[in-house]
Amino acid sequence: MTKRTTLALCGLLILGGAFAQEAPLRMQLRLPDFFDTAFEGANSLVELPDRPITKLRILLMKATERHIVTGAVNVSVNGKGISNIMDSRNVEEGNQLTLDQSTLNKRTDDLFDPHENAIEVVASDNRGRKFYQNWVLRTGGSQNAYFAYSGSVSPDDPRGVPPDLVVDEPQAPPILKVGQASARITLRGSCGSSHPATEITLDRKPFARIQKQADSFSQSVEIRRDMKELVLEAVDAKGNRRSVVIPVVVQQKEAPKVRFAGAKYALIVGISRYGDAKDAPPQLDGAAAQADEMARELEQQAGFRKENIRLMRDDQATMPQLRTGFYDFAAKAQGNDLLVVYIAGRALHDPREGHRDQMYLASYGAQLGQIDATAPSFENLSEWLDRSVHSNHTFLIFDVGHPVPTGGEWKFPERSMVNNHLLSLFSEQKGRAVLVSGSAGEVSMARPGGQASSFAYWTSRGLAGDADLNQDHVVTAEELFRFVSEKVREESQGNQNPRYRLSAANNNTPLSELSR
Amino acid sequence: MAIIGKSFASVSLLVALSIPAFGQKLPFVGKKSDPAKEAEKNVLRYEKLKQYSLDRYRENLEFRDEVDQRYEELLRSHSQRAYARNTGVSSYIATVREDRWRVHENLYDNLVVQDHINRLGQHLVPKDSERAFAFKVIPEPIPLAETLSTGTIYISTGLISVVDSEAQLAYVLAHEMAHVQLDHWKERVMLDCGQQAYAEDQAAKSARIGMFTSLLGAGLGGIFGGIPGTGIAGNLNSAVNGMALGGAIGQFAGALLNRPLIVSWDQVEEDAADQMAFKAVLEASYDVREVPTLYATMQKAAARDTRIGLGFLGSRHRIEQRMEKAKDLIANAYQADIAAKLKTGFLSTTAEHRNLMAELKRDNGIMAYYNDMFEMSRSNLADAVAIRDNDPAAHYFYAKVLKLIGRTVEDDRLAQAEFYKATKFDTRDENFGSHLHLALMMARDRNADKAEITKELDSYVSDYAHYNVMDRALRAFPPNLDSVYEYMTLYGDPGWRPKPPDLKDVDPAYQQISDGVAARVPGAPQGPAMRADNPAEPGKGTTGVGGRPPVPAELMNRIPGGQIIAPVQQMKDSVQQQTQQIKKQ
Repeated sequence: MTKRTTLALCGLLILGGAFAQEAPLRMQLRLPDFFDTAFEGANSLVELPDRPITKLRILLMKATERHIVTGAVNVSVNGKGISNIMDSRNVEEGNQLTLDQSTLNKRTDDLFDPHENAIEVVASDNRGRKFYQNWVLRTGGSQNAYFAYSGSVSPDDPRGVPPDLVVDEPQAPPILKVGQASARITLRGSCGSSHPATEITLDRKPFARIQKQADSFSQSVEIRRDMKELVLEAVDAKGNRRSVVIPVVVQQKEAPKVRFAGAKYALIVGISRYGDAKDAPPQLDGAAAQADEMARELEQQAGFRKENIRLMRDDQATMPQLRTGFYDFAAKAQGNDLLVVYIAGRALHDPREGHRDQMYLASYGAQLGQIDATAPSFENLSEWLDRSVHSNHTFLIFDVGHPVPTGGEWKFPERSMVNNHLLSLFSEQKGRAVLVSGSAGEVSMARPGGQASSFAYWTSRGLAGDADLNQDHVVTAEELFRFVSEKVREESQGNQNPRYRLSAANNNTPLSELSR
Repeated sequence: MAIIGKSFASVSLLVALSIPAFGQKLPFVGKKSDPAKEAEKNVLRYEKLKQYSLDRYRENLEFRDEVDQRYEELLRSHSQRAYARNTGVSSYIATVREDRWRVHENLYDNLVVQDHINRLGQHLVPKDSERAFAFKVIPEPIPLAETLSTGTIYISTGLISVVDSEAQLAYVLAHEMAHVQLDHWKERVMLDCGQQAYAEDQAAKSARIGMFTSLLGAGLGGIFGGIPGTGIAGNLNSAVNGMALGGAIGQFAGALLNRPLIVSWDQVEEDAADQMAFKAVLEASYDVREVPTLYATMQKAAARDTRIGLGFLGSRHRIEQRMEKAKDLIANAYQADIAAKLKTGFLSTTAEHRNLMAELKRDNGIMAYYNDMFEMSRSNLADAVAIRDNDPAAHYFYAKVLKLIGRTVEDDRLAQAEFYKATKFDTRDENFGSHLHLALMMARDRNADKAEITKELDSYVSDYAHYNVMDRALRAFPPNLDSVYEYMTLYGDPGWRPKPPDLKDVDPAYQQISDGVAARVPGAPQGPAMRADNPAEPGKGTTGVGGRPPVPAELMNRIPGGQIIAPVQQMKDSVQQQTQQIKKQ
């Protein structure tokens, strides 16, 4: 072999090394409270029995061999860092991070959500390369958004699971119309439990008994005007409990004349096109049209004045323009005014390797290759809201969890965390409520046979009056959020579950005042 | 000519033979030395010198007295150093213009971190050790570890901050502990005296041999030099030449015997300490496999900033060797032990350690910032905000360093976002500077909202004035109030504020004295720097108010007369001017 050939081969090897793709770091999640199984990669959606999470174990496979710097592994739950309550041990398989009750006790905030939790890990090696992985832990599956669910485990059965109590009928709160003293409804559903001999009570009175592991029930029950709710509770032989609360809506003789005292503002954003750059995010049909529809609905049905609606579509929604939208327009809404911010478009993780923990709202002109310089990050969004919005009745509605094609140069994590992170914009103190189109990892689905998303459609319908459960000609925030959640869940057969966070102070804020 | 020629040859030979006597090797002659062989030779020389010194210590009373006396002097000097550090401990809040931070002197004034590091160190001391140890953290951004003969081990915040895990830190502490446990200070004194005595011994031997061979050379030269010559002169020349040659050979032989035992005992002691540390860390169930990573981290950090290599664990040129040695121990001598320990798992970093690192890295990052150790500052503060994302001081200084060294638009955006977070989490309105910097960064944007900028500038001035007023009131409280806030947050009361002392039972005479002292405070505090521990010494840093007057209760929550109004008004005027300029632009 000549000297020149050897040199050329060496050069090729060096170049090959430089461009070689770094193999992803394998990470596993274990949940000792529930299973012995390890969840890894594609198994990043975990359905959990309804019990509190007290332990987490995350294993970074071959971490020492991969030169993973243990001090630079950051774990978060629902966007909150938890590395400071996790012990790190090196075991045969790799580096294991452990959270247990003793370390969990050091946190005074509520870390885990009773229904859904997003666990994210960012690990860096000694050369500064970053590896990202996430898991979604979901409890209770797909539930009726109008009903309230709760469960508890008996102290005698610490690894037990509350019975599974499903109500198939009614599908929405029963209504007693004006002049109707009482009515009979059918209460139908099923109950399953690992411990048979489950007692079911209705308002603390015996209702049914399930002798098998799973069985159904169906009875006619009476509702009266003095009732506010029906409480169905199942208790298994070990004392594990599950209850479902079904509200009863009693229409009053004359619906109270609710008028929102302050002014109503709406900032509506719909971005279908993202510009001509080679690496612009792919077009999203329907988003701009949805924004048009939402603006029309608010003006014509919900009582918003035309001059108080700012509509920003496609190329009117660049990053600086969005910022101006908040600072110049949304800022007009004062403490007692109402502000609706509706955004339809794309939100995504930074597609670049090593930056996937960062999330952005794709504005017009966004480029995937330099998303951090061309689109607002969720942190920017949070800052804009904090600095510009003064209203104590702010409703943020996001329909941005659309699937991003994974072909070509750009790849995205299998489960998008954008909805989960957007929910953290909720602030009880600032009177800010948030509704997102799906749960973590879920995508916003189009309506059967149409371009409009199911979420956008039902939001419009809800504002138009369909969400007015008690038929008082006012759609309150709670009514709209529950209506949209339930309708989208139903239409998607449980595959898309909108989530919301709403403080008690804003439950009854009238979003839409319908003409009588 | 013949005489000159022969004499020249003799002198040349003498010079040539004499050269090696000045050193043990010529750096420019022969092959490059093999470090492993050199190290081996060094160990042999060390052992030889150690044996010589021990024998002499046992047999020679004069030598023993000298060693003991010098060791006592060393102990005394170390005690004095410890005393100076222990009694000079202080921490105070300082300001440089719009920055506010806590300055630590002599020892890092964070009780929880100090306690954690001490406990970690004590855990590594061999169970049968008769020595007592104390592990203390010193406020110094340069990575340093120092051991005193008293059993005190000092480790700098800078060193802790660059170490990646608790296991690696345990190794550093164990290494320093080993120096004391192995009595290296006493050994150093003894070897130092021993080396001197050895050199004197050898010099005497060399002189004797030189004299003997010179005489022998002269005799032989006289006898054999006359044969080819023609008379006495010839014999005299031969005798002179013979003596010169004999002298040269004698000197050479003497030099061979008189080679001073130059020993790098640093190297030998460091290796011994490494060995003991390795064992201690393994026994404490920390992962020794992280030791090579520690060396690699240090090497990398030192390559980026040479100051980082200034004081770490002996010679930085030997880091490579020690890393290889550690790898060798892992792969061979301790392989079975490691495999057994891995079954149950090694400790790498506890949650407690990680949590405390948020505070330490923040404080060290700030110190590094003021020492222009940019890379260390950036990396420390980035870690601090990653571990605890609601610490306004960490966000503020992280933003400052990003702004200072940033080159790209993204760096600017990140810096601005960090300034924003510093304002957002600043529930006690202490990071007033974040408002100023945020305003100035916003002003760079052509489409900036001018109202927002003026709002931030106004917040800066108001918060600054508020802080100044509160600062005077808060002087009655402990200097480590910041730490107490952190503990309160940790234990569930983030909104806690110190209550003013109840002075109703205090004798009015004391209150008068107290008021009198307060009235003598010179001028308005232009910056809230104070030394909380030493009332006699004026405040350090750029500003100072001189001493710490006791604070009467009525001083709480009120502006003390016109003292503070004037400077605040000046500041407001200045900021208004800036605002006007921005508006004009």
